[in-house]
Order: sequence, then structure tokens, then C-alpha cells
Amino acid sequence: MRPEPNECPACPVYRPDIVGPDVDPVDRSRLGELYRRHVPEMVRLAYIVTGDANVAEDLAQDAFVRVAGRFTHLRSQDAFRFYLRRALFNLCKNHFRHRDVERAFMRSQPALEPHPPDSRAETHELIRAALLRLPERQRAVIALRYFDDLSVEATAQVLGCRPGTVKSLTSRAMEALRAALKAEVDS
Amino acid sequence: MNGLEGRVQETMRRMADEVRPALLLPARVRKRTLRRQALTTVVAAIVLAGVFVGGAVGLSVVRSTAGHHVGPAPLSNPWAGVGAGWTELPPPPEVRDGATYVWVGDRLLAWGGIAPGSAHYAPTSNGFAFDPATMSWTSIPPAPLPGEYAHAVWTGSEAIFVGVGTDPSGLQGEAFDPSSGTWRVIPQTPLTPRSREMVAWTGQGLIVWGGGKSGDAANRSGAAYVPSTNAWHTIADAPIGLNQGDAVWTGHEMLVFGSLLNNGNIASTQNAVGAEYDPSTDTWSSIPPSSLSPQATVAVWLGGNGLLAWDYEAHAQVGDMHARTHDGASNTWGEVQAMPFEPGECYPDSALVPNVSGNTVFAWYCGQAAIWDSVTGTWLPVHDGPTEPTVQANGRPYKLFRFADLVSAENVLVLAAEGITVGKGGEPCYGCPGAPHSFWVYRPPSDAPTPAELAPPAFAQADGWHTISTSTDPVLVDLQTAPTVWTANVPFDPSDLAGRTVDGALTESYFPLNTMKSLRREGVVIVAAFVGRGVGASPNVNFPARTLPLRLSDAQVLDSWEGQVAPNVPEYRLLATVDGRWLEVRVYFGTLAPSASTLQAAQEELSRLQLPSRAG
Repeated sequence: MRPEPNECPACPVYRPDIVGPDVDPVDRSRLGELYRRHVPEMVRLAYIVTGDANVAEDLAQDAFVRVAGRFTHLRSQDAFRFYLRRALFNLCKNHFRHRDVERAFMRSQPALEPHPPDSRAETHELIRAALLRLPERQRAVIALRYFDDLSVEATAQVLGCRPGTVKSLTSRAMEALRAALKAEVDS
Repeated sequence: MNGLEGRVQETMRRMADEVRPALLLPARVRKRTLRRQALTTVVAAIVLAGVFVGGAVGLSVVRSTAGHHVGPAPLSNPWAGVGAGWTELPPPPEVRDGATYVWVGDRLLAWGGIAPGSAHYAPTSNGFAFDPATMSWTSIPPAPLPGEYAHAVWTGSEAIFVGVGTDPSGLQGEAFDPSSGTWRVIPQTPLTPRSREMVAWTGQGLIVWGGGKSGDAANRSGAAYVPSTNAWHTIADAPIGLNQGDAVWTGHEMLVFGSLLNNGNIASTQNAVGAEYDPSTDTWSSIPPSSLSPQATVAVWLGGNGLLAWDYEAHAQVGDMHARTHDGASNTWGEVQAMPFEPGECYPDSALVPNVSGNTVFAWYCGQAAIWDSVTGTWLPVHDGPTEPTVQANGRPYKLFRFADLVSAENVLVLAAEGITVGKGGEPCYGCPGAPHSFWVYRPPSDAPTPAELAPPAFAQADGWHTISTSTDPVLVDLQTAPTVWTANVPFDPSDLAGRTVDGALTESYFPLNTMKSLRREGVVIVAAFVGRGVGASPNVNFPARTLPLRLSDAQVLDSWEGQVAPNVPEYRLLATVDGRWLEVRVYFGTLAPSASTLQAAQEELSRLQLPSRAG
């Protein structure tokens, strides 16, 4: 493939007369900045939801392509971040829906270690395993509420659901996590 | 936050530390993003300015394209009166073989071609314009040069026709300005006359490339014309030569795809092939060979999804016609899809019809039609309209309208169909005298919401109150957003509107959080939104049946609420089923104990709440 123009020192001079007004040059130069500012955070969010670093990176990049490609008129960083987050969670949803990864993942999970948590590290491992067992929507709510520090309202906006649904999903997820930890401790 | 929540948070932070995202924008992401930006700009231009941008080229029909629209933009969709599916149009006063069709923003031009009964098959220089607003044709003045099977592109102010005239020394062109009804001859191209050349409009320039007999230098050569400088310049020769194919503009490159056929229609390659030309660097790059037949292929540009191409092979059997997409980001071909067509002996043709729920590719082949949905990636046959009539020939039924010229015109497709005749021996005759013609427009079905479905609640205007609501334009508004209106007795904080408005309307619902944060004691903010689209919602325990005007005294008062923007801002929450729609109204004050006059002001504004007409 031909290298990108900025990676091609031998390329002839840019000729704007024949290039259409398709992309604002400012937007071209801002892409890198937007990417650096937002995508690492989205990769981390997607990783928490999917549990797979490679998938997380792909989903975050796809979300970036969608949002940066569609909302060229956006100048508000906050709005960009909001749309990016929403696109990411839609992609996460599609990822689980289409590939049935969640069920396969659940089947592939080894049983938890039987001994009770006796250190902070083990507690985190237990929570992590329990988190990844949560249904995808509950996991998304937990990631947005407790990792991304979003309010119920903002979480609802990102996931495209009612605030009451967020509360209900949060409550169920925390209940499940609490039960999982208790079961481990009890055993 | 209790202990478990804190531990969950800490666990997630540890998880986040396990991934090390790349900090640099990968080249493939950059390329895909720029392509998507280009597509978005194109689609927005279609809807906002009423001009169409396309690229795929048929033998005698070129999609109209627009870069900069000069002159008044159409005020409304010119095809607003045409519903989904097929609508037959009146034919032009004279239907000519080899006429060139081009959409010029608000009209369809049918120019040139051979007049019926012409003794010497002399090309004509005049034509006709079809106005969808009046559903009628009018004459356009004669051009300086005649033409047949010419190519045309729409620049936004002029229709440029190339391949006109009879000068053997060079390819000629001329331009028509529909607003003034005037023609001008453009400088002669630096290219030799050729047939089956491909053209693409870049937004600011026209590229003519390829064509000619197999083995000619014309196969690989091309030139570009820039209207603003009224000058041509040659472009670098391509690594491949084509004389049967399509050229499409991707947003920043011209992609050519097809084959090089000799006089016996034998292709020089086993499969259809393609290459990309970047005008900014005057360089070409190749794309991998497809598995598609080189006999006859057709390609359209899908925007972010890449190129869609499909083929026809001589002696094909049912299921032998295939389509594939090419992803420009990875430079790879996608899965092979079977086309829903019976085999026949015709050249395929396609056109892209943009709409708000995704691009639809319309495909025509031997009187059969199908559409490809870019969202689902599936082909669906299209019936009725010009695909229905048949004639008996060779003892079996033939599709009457076997051939067609396709023109994308805003969000519809115009199809100029040519029928076959049956000879005395009962054999079908293609292009014979007396062939019937018919003209159709096809609007793809769309699941996009209607403006009526997107219409938010509204507040009647009142002194001292500021209101803004979500857009009803399905292209501008986020389709997942609830139809919403904000009103406040203070000006909205600019940061609440930044990046969320286009043309004075919100593109998403959300909340005016910064306005709410800085509310004074007498300040009031009201957010009203429909929950879900359409009508037919039933009252339930959450959304009890109510009538307008809503009463503030019915509201649930929450002094502390999830996501509370400031401790002094209470939320008065009213949920209701009104007129078959779920309505959610939230009223915010700048104090936990609003005064009687502030409550009264809020109630008066609440009483001005109106629901949009269901008819939109």
C-alpha cells in the first residue's frame, strides 16, 4: 500500500486544486491529537468490558473511526468524548451479540480457586473474575459508573437507556459481585 | 461509596493498567477516518445543500456530483412527492439513443444522443430538463458541440460534458450552466479521442482516464480539468490499463476497477483488477486482484465500507454472478456474495443511493433489479416497476425493459429504461428501431424515522424564556437520542450548546448541566423529552395517564438525586402518558426551597408545553 502522505518524503507536492473539499485540513491534523487524548481511555474501558486486550483495542479504534469520521463539525472535546464512549459501547454490544463471545468466554472460564481471599491481590482477582462473569450490560454499567465516574444520568445517555435501568443494572451487578465474593469467602 | 464499590473501582483500575494502548494514531485508523469523514461530508451535502455527490460511471450515464454549490440551494427535497418504491415518470419529448443523463441539483438533464429516425445517425446538441417539482420536461438550449454517449459530471454550478464533438485530434468538452441556461466550450483535453473512458469528479476537478482499444496508450493515461483555472493537466500513467470498468472518487483518491478487453471481448487478466490514484501526490497504487469475472464488472464507492463490485460472466448459470466489497483500509477483498439475478447477456450497472439509514446500492441487470443495504450487507431483489413487463421471444418470456441508464438524483434513483423488440422470426432484437422506452424513479425503502417521529415536545414562546430542542433532521440528530426540548428562564451556558447544536437545533438530548449548575435562586430549567418513538404507548405505573397542562404539584420532588449537578439543585420529576406517548419532564430550580413566585413561573412555563402533531 502507498504510505500516508506525511510518511512519504519523496511524494510530489500537494496539489489542492484537484483534491476535493472532502476533509477539513484542520480535521486531518486534529485526528492524531483526538486519538491520543481519547482512545487510550476507551481501550481501557473496552478491556474492562470485554476482558480481551486485542478486542478492546480493535473496538476502541473502530469507535474512533466512526465518531471522528461522522462528527467533523464537533469542536467540543466533551461532546466528542461522549459520542466516542457511546459508539464504543454500541460496538461492545455488537461484539457480544454477533460473535457470541460472552457465552464462549463463560464456558472457558476456569473455576475459581477454592481458598478464601487472604490478601488484597486475591480479592482483586476474585472481583475481576466475578466482573467478567457479569452480563455484558451490567459490566458496561459498572465500568461507566465506577471506572469512568459517570453519573446515572450520563451512564444512561451513553448506553441509550433510562436512568432507572442504569440503577437497576448497577444494583443487580453489585448484588452479583457481593454474592460471588461471599460465596468464595464462605467456601 | 461503600467498601465493595471501592474495591470494584480499584480492581478496574488495575485491569486498566494491564493494557497499554498505542499512543500514536495507526495509519489504518487515520485512513479509515478520513474516508468516513469524506463520506459524511458528502451525505450531509446531499441533504443540506440538495446536491448529490457520486462517482460511479455507466456507459452513457454519469452520476451527477457536486463540490461547491453556487446559487440558491433547493429549499426542499425535490423528490418529496415521490414515495418508496417505483414511480413512473413522463418520457422526455424525444427519447434518444446515446443521450447523456446528469442530475444538476434540482433537475435531471437528458442531453444529446441520436434523434429517432435520424438518417445519418448524427448526434444532436440540444436536450431536455426534467423538473421533479412539476413532473414535467422543458427544452434546454443547444450546445456548441453535439454529442452521443458522452460523460457528464455536476460541479455544483455547471454540468461538464466530455467526449463530445467530432474533432479527431483530441477529446473535447463543454459545460452547461443551468441557472443561466448558457453553454461554454472548455479547453481541448490533452488526451487523444477514445471510447469507454472513465471519469470521476473530485469535488474540485474532473479526471478523465483510461479507455481506448486494448494496447493503446490511452488504456493507462488520463488528464484532469479544474474549472476554477479552466485548464487541463495530464496525470501520471497508471500501472494497469482498463477499457471496461468504473472510476469512483473515494474522498481523496480515484479508484478505477474493471478489465482490459480486446476486440473479441477477451480480457487481458483472469480477474477484474483495479488501482487507486492520489491526485495530491500524482501517484498510483494497486489493489489486489479480485476473484470477479473480467467480462463485465461494475463498481460503486460505499464510503467507509469501501468499494462494492459485482460481475457478469458469459454463459453464466444461476448463482454465477457475484459481488465483493473491497476494504480500502486493509486493502483486502471481503467475502463473495451471490447476486440475486438470473444470468443473461447484458452489462451490469449500479448506482449508489444515499439515505439516512445507510447507503443503498441499486443494481440493474437484464431487466432485473436488486438493492444492497450497506448496514446489513445483504442483497434483496426489487420487483415491480420496469422489471415487470415481459415479451415473448424465441418461445420464452423476456424482460421487456432489458437495458437501463441509472442516475442517482439526491436520495432516489432515476432509471431510463430501454426495451427490446421482437423480430419477424420471433427473435429478440436489442436496440432496434421502435424499441419502447420508459422512465422511472425508485426510492429505496428506509427505516429512518420520519420528522414526525423525531419531533420533540415544545414550549410556546414566552418573554424571558429560552428554548432549544433536538433537530428533526434524521441526518443531523443522533438517532438514539430522545426527542427533547430544553427551556430556561436564564440564557443557556454556551458550553452546554457547544458541539451539540447544528442550525440552532440540538443534535442530542442530554441535559444543560452547566446551566443547571449555575442557577440562581429564581432560576428554572425544564427538560422535556419523549421516551421512545412513535405513538401507542399505554399508561403504566411509571407513566400514568395525564393530560396537558401538566401540574408541578404532581411531580416527585427529589432534593438529592443520582448525578445531582449541585447540592442546591432539586429535581421535580413528572412522568406521564399523554396522547399515547410517554413523556418525561424534569424541572430544576436553583434552590431546594423555591419561592412561590418561582414555582408559579415554572408552572406557567409548564402550562405552555405542547405536543407536536402526529402528522408532523
